[in-house]
Amino acid sequence: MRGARSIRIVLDGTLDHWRSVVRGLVAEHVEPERVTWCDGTREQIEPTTAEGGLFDGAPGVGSLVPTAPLEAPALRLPRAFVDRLRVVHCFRSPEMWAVAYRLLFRIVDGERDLLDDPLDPDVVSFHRMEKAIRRDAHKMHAFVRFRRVESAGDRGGERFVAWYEPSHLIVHREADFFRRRFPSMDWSILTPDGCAHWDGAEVSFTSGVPRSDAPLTDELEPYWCTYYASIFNPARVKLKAMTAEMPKKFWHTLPETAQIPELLSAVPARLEEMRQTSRRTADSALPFVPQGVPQGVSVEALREAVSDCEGCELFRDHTRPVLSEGPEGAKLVLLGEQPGDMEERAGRPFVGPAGEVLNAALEVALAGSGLSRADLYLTNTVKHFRHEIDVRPGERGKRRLHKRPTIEHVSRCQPWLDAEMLRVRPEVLVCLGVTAARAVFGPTFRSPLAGEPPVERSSRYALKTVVTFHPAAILRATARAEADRMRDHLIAALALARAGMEGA
Amino acid sequence: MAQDVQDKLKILADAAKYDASCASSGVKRSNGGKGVGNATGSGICHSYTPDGRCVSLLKILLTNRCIYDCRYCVNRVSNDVPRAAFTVEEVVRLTIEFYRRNYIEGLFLSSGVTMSSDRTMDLLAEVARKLREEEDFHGYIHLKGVVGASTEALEKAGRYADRVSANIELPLQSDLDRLAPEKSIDEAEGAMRFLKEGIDESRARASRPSIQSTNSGPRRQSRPPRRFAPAGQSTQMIVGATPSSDSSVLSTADRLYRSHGLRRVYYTAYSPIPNAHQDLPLEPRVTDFVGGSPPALVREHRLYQADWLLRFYGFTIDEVVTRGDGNLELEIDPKMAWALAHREFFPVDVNRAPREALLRVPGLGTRSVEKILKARARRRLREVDLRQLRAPIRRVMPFIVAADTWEVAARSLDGEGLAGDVRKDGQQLLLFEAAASARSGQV
Repeated sequence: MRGARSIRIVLDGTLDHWRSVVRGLVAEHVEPERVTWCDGTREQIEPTTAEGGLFDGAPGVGSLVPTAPLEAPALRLPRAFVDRLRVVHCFRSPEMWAVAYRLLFRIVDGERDLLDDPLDPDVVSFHRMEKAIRRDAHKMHAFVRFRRVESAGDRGGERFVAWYEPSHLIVHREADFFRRRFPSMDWSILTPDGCAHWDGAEVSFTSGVPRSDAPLTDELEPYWCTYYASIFNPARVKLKAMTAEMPKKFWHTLPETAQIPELLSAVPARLEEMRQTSRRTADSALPFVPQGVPQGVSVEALREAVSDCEGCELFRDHTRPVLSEGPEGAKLVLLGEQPGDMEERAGRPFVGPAGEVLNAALEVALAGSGLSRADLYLTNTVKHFRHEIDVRPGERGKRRLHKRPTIEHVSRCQPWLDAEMLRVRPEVLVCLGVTAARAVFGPTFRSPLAGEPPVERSSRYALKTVVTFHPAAILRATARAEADRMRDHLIAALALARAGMEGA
Repeated sequence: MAQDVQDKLKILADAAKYDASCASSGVKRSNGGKGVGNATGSGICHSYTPDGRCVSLLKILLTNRCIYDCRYCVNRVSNDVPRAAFTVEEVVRLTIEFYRRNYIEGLFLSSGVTMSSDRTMDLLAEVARKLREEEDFHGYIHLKGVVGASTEALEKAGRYADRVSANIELPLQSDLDRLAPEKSIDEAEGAMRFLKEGIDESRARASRPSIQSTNSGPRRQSRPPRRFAPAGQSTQMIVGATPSSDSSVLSTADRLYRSHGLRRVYYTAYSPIPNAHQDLPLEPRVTDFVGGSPPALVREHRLYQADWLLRFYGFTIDEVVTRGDGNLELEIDPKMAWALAHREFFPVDVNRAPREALLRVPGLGTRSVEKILKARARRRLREVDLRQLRAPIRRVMPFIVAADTWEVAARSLDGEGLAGDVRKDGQQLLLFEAAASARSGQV
């Protein structure tokens, strides 16, 4: 073995075999350049040109079937090198043996700290191979997908079988990860290179099999795929980030990835839908209210425009919004809550049962003043009819039941009221009910007590503003005495408003 | 499992996806050769969705019914979305069956608040208890700490979970007042304070040598008490739902790290949700995109970078926030922004500068710096060596001198075009780096 003759070494693929061979080579001081490594368990690569010159050319010439030289001394190697070699030897290319021998030779030759040099070309190759193995192992821990099969075994009659295709020869090394993680279930991991099996007592290995030996599906996979599709957020697609961590070569053994094209093609539509619903419910009525001179646009124009309002979700019920009734020069404004069933049908405020209660109260309060309802401006806080559909067994047709608007509906609809008040500029405003009062005085306004007489105060819309009960509340009152008290309060409030108007 | 479990899964995973955390790291646990699962310490991402986020845990809500009306939240009571609720047993089964197929590392369970905070917290903890005690499950469990829950309920959660996280949600109380008037920062921090006490106490107990009983009575075989939230606590802040600046976001994060020993603060760009509330910003226009990414996502990425600089690179908030309006630069990373604003600090000599100075160079992370220190002990480093160490040469070179680059660096540092060049580079980089660093925060 002396001289410049090149040596061809055929390995059985195990680290032990390589070790025993290397001990002999080191003992003979065979330079790494003279050795070419063949390993039937790894993909053979062509020798690089730099090394090619050292071969005799004809296959088999100079080849050697190595025997472990018993007399060769054990090598004293740094612990770090041995540990890392245990990882690196899983690398699929036989080039790995060459790099390992070059490093080993130089270490034995005196470069004990060689591995600490991050710029040495051999160290760089070694390090890159180690990184590739660790990444491959990590991906295997992550991407193995077990499928449950019924079996005759005595451990619950089930077995979990996975098909996996690692990039490197890591099945033996990584079987331990799965043994530690799943001690109580029988499992097998099948790969083209070899298979690992666990039966609760020990890990065993068999040779590689084709994919067709693995089960095709699992009852849990539809759940897993549902989970995967649902946890994906279409508002933040980052494909590069996904494929950096889960390259496409892994996809064919991951059941969830089959949906990716479908999920992606649905993104524009899902975003558009989100944009639509967000836009419609995100805006207030403001964009729908015609903007005009500082004194505002005519009430007539507002009445026309309100039918197109989409300032809140109530427009989706396909009801007709009702703005107001009465002259825009009115000095007294009555502000209600929202149109009811009959108001929505008629397109006019206060024409239903509550309207009748109001009319009766107005008759009393306005008596002798020469004023009538036609001289007042009547409007509502919310312009759409918020309701729910009530279907009763045995009754024909559906009933639309009033549903109180929320503070959110009030605030979204307020631009309409702002525009109306800018135009009408009332001297006196009467808030009928707490919804109206909150629109005028803010959401913390508390309902007046029936026993307290109505009072005048100033508000954002009128110097004289009076709060009283809504006529519908009087209709709903259960006790007669209570209804009477509320009606008296309403009449007193309207009378106070009339007086305020005359005094102005 | 019944069909309706799949329907519930669809709703309750969808509702959980706005919580950014999916980490399964921070705790090592073996199973003693029995039961199901273990925890490896570093966490495993079992899949990735097209949004670039990893799938490590089964991240679901127990229910998306909620009595609160937080405006940034898709589950707010006023929102019109389909509602569902799992039973405790259903969540336990899904977790175990997913785990046994190696789909997940464990469970991240959160919930809308239904009857009361207490009752909700107790139900979440009950899932964890069942998994641990009845299913012998040793995988990872992350429970959302329900703000406002009693200390008893939080204690139970910490006893069975690896990690508990109470969300701060928004950086300032004024933000909460605006979008979640029922929530308060004090309450969230109260939960964090309690969790920290439990974690500290449990850690101190574990590090004390166990006292051998001198009692000669029959020795009882007792398991050691469970460690309290051994993977610590984290929190989440939604960014971009209110006008609060990056410097208030980072100040709040900094305070939380210091006072409650958090493992992580997650920043999550406010993401458009179905039926978004009117008080929330709408989606940005296409023309607003920076380097192909929506600005909200870029901002989130920059915050993670800044967070990393504060915690591991010795930067202060004033240093990372270079803009007058208190926000981070979008086009370039905070380290680059600092470097451009402090050219007097550069060039740094890679062959002589101390570690701290190297860490200030844009493009050099902690790992590159370690490699440089090792390599320069053997030779004077040239540009080609840095290339070999895989340093991003175009970004690094203007700020350093190597054995053969003195003139180049000196010239380009004075040049007017430098800021423009790095900005252009920054835009291209964004496309590639955003995702990786959202996870690691590495700059």
